[in-house]
Amino acid sequence: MQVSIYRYNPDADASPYMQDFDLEIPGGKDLMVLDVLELLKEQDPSVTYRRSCREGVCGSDGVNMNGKNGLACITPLSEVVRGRKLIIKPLPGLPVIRDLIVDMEQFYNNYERINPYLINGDDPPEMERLQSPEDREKLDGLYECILCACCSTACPSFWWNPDKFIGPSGLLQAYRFIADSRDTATEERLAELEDPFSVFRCKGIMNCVSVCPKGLNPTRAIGHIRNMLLKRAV
Amino acid sequence: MKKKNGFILKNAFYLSGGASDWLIQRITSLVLGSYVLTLLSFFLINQEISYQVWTNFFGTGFMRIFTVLAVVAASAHGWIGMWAIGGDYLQEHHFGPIAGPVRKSYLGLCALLAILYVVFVVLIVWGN
Ligand code: SF4
Ligand code: SF4
Ligand code: FES
Repeated sequence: MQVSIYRYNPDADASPYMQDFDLEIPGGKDLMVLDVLELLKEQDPSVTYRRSCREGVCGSDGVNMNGKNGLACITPLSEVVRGRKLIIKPLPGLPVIRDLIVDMEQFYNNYERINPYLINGDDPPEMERLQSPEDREKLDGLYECILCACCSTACPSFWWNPDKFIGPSGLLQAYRFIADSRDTATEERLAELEDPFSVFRCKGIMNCVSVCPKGLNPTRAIGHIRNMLLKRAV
Repeated sequence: MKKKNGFILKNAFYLSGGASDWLIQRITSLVLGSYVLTLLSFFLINQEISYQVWTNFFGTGFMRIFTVLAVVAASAHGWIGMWAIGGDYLQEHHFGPIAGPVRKSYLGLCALLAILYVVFVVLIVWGN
């Protein structure tokens, strides 16, 4: 199989380039893209990428494989390889630190902007803040986000205005706290999001939904926030 | 909670927020949609259109007001849309240091066109 991977070492390379490898893929089982990266690293130890859990939990190996963002560790070759060729690039839209490693600072800044923690002004109860099973259910499909950035770096609105549009991942998390029955800062949270960029820059392109490796739906969460903002405005 | 930093591009209309831009966009498209439907039915009903038929149709108070409403809607709709496109594609990472002037001239041109459209349509519909 031919594997083409994006290489860039700012200390040594004038500009990024693609490096091709011919790789014998051991038959018998469907390898994951991360396995391929490990095989490449045996051939060329300078190939650089992030990974940790290798089972789709930590969110560190988001990359772009044959044009689509995803986690290398849970993306089987059978799903992405076309015509015996695999092209691996870093997540688009973020500065490259080296090879497949991108600088996630902007992404985390946007996450920080939505105050990703429970806010509740009441006195804490003795044991814990209780929640009915129905209220708890409202957080399903929201809390599972692993902040891999596959969605936000697939979103054109995030590419063009990463400093103003929060992006699908951050907005999914914003809604996770807005929807939480134990959180009392809904109004303040909405007030932070009412400008024309933070939420309203979403154009419903739904790239985020099509790439999320956890099967989450940021567009739906954004729709909920937008409806709340509209209700609040009229 | 943290304070937002100031936006270089604030919003399409000076005082509007995201919600009102969004609503204006939807309401104006409804106005434009119904205007197009009205025109379509006019063309369907009148197979032969003479100067007389045409001026009679646009001479009614209803059509005059509706036409002005439609061009105001088109201008507002277009302005928000063009403002958004400029905010996406006329930026430092496309144009480097001249992005600011490029965006300003583009927005100025769009605003001028939007206003001129309204002015001309008002003159055409209400002038003699
Ligand atoms: S639906 Fe919204 S957030 Fe998702 S990719 Fe499209 S513009 Fe971005
Ligand atoms: S929503 Fe999905 S794609 Fe986006 S950061 Fe969370 S897990 Fe990753
Ligand atoms: S290595 Fe942890 S998600 Fe892929």
